[in-house]
Amino acid sequence: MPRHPSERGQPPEPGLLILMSLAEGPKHGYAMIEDIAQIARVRLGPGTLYGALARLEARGLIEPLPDEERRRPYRLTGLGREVLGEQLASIQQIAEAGMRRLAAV
Amino acid sequence: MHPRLLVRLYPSRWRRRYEDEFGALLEQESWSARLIVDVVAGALAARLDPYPVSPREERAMPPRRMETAGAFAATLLVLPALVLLASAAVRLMQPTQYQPAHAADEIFNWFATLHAGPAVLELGPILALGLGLLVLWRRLSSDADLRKDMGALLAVSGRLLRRPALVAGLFAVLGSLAVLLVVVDHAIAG
Repeated sequence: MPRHPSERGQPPEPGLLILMSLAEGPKHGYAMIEDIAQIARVRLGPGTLYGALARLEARGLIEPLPDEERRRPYRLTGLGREVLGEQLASIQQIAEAGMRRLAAV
Repeated sequence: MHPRLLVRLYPSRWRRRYEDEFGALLEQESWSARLIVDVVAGALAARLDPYPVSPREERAMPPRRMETAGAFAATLLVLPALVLLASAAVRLMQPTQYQPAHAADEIFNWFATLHAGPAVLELGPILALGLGLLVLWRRLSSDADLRKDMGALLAVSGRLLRRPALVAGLFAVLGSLAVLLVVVDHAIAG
């Protein structure tokens, strides 16, 4: 039995979760996993995290910072911030439309 | 097996970029079946869909088009000689009224009508050898990860060859399978 409403649906795309996590400020891999587990109740595995990080970096949405004892922090680029804003606005629009329909039933 | 060893499953280009930080992250995670499945799936995804290269990395990478074209040209140069030798060997194995010796005989005779023996069997392989060595040298001299992988492959092969029982067992299994396949093929073909 799901303990939280968010556990009933599919977890959001790892790339979106990473962008959301980095919107708060630069983070390295482990900090992102912990942060995402808190905000979305989804614990990304290291393979999933780095698969998404590589794609986001290649698309220019995030960028690496100098490493700190083998742990490399990443931060959002200007483009990443813009794309995250667009994606969240789109999700919000869909969610609001869905809630209006639910309320009308 | 330590999860860190799983990083070896990723392609060398991916490792060159992410191995250190990914390894550091794995060291912080606790060992579990879920972790292994996640890392193996990530490695498989990185191999099936090689990790995308950012424009900055793309610019930093040496162009490989010439090397790829050279490698394919070398293969095409040596291919006719291999086909000719294979058909010569097959037509000797059984009477030529039966397949596959019949097809091999046809191929061999077609080559003979071309009068291109020296070109196919000497010039082509010599050019292919030179071109192939050049491509290998260029690729190996510019890619440290590839050199490391080749070294590891040679070391593993050397260790295997030093175990005669393993080599003999492998030979027996593969040899038996090949013989059984031929027998089954003949039984089906009557």
